[in-house]
Amino acid sequence: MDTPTATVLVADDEPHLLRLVKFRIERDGHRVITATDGDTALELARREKPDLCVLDVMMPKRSGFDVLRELRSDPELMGMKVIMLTARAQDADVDAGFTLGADDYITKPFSPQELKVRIGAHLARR
Amino acid sequence: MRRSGRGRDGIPTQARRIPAPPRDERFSQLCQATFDAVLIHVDGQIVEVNPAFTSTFGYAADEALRLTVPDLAAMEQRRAVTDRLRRGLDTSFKLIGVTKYGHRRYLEAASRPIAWGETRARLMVVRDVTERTLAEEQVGVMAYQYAADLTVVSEVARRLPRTADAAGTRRAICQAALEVCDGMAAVLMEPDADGRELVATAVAGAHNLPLKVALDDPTAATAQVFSSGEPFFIADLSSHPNVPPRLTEESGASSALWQPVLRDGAVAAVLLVAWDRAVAHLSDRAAAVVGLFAAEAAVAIERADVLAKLDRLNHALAEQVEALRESDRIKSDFVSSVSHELRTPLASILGYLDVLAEGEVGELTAEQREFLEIVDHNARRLLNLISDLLTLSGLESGGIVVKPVPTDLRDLVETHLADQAPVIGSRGQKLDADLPAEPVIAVVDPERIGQVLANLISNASKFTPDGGRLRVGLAGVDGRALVTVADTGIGISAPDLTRLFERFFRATSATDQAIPGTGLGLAICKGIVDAHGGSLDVASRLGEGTCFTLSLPLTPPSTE
Repeated sequence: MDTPTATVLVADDEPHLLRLVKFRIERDGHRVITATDGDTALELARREKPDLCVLDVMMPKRSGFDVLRELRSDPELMGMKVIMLTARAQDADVDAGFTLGADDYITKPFSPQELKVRIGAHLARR
Repeated sequence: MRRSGRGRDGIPTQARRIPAPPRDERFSQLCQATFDAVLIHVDGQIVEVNPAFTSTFGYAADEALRLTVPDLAAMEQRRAVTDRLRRGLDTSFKLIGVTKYGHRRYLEAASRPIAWGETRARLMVVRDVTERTLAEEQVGVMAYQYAADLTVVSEVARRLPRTADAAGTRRAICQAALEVCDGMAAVLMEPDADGRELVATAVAGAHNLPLKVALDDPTAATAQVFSSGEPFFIADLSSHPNVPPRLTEESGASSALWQPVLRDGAVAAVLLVAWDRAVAHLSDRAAAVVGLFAAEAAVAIERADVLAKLDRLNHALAEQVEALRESDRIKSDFVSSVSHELRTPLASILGYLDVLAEGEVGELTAEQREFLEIVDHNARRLLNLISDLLTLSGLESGGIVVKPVPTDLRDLVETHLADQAPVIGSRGQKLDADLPAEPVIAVVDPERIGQVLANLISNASKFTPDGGRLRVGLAGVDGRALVTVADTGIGISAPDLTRLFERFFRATSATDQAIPGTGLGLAICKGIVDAHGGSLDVASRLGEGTCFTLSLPLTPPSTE
């Protein structure tokens, strides 16, 4: 699958996981920008206007859900895809994610292979 | 007074000469001596009277002989008396009489026929009951007053608070005491916690009254009333030796009453009422009113105290419930956060393994690949363990709610048998499925019950040697679905059976043969089945095999 180059924001406070996700997405030829807390993630999302965000939920300063809520209330960021990638696996959390406007919800541990496929699918539907 | 003519009813009212019989000494003496007025009349005409007649009615004997019986009755009663005479009634009767001087008297009269010479006459005895009647009337008035007092007191008592506000109730009692007694000040004195002093627990109408009295002070009226249980009244406080002049000057009180407040026959408090005017005398009536009010006050105090105690208990209970909720929440948060903390490193481990296994950072040798698969396998075991612990914790705290929907159990059993058929086949085990021809519809959570079925079937295979037999049955019986999973495996000893559903418990027969497991699966199964109102039972014989029976209601038990 030949996906055109996109900009992807990955936000996770766990550096090893961040590196893994970044590695996986960069291998598909996309540009990756990273944040390790919610505030930075929101700031980067507004400034860089990435095509897709991969957000952890439990992050310092601002949770991934709060970042998502802010993104969805910003008319300039319409059309930005958001995938939640989190260890919060309970039904209520998944419900909350989709209710707030997430395009996808992947629970940790996850298969990087699956993440790659899903990112590809969302980017193709831009 | 009529002296002549003839009465309307034919009773002669004119004096006429009726020949008197000879005087009988004994009879005469009897009549002379009696205190009641005695007269003899012939058809109403008085022909003889005794001295008591004269003292009752004022008429001398010769004056009496010119009168008729109706002449002795009050104007409004003459017709009734005449009527009685005409009908010859001899029963006793009451009447209001009138004396020669016009005074009205309450009388009781009775008559008997006698012979008066040749004539038939009647002897009439008339008793003056004026004093007694007036006394009775007085009692009636008192009863009326008492009823009125009772109404006032109960009306005041009715307005006393019925809340848990113990202090407010006491203040209201003092206020009401002022109202009932028309007093200046009222103080409620009650024993303190160690019972050494009486302290004012409420005051109305004053600030400067004594607020503390030692219970053993012999000169203190409050202490005395508390120990004796008898009310105490001082009409003139200023001249009383035990009342300091300063007190009366400061408070302006002239008279005071100490009223014991009894609870269950014992003195619970003393109600002190003071007047700023001299109350010369505390009437019986006033004493009764205050006593009545004190009884109402006792009830109100007890009610408020009981309610207040109940309130405190409720409050303590609510705090305990809140603390329990809090600890439950902490536990739940802890489990959730531990789960998160364990999953995050596992996510890295499994994620990097995946990238390595995909060959994305270079091709792997067969041995490298094999070792990475072992790492992956164990990381996943750890992940499953965490997930089992989370499920169990959720089942215990009620955090996991089953979502029952009508489910075909036959279909569910078939699905899970199909899922596990490859593993069962790979071990050369023979599987018999005894399923009904028709669907068995039960209202259950298909995901959770599926989890139970998967666990029971995989256990049966796991604990049965290669080439053994498994039998899975399903039947609908008496509103319940019965699923049986039997094997010809290693079995479970009788002592182990009793502990089989405990968390982390593993049967000796399993550990002896180093069959892997965490001891959580059956605990989880039991939790899920319990949440459905069903039951999970096991029968087993060591070395022969095991049979689990899952029983589920076809319709779920009504919740709440």
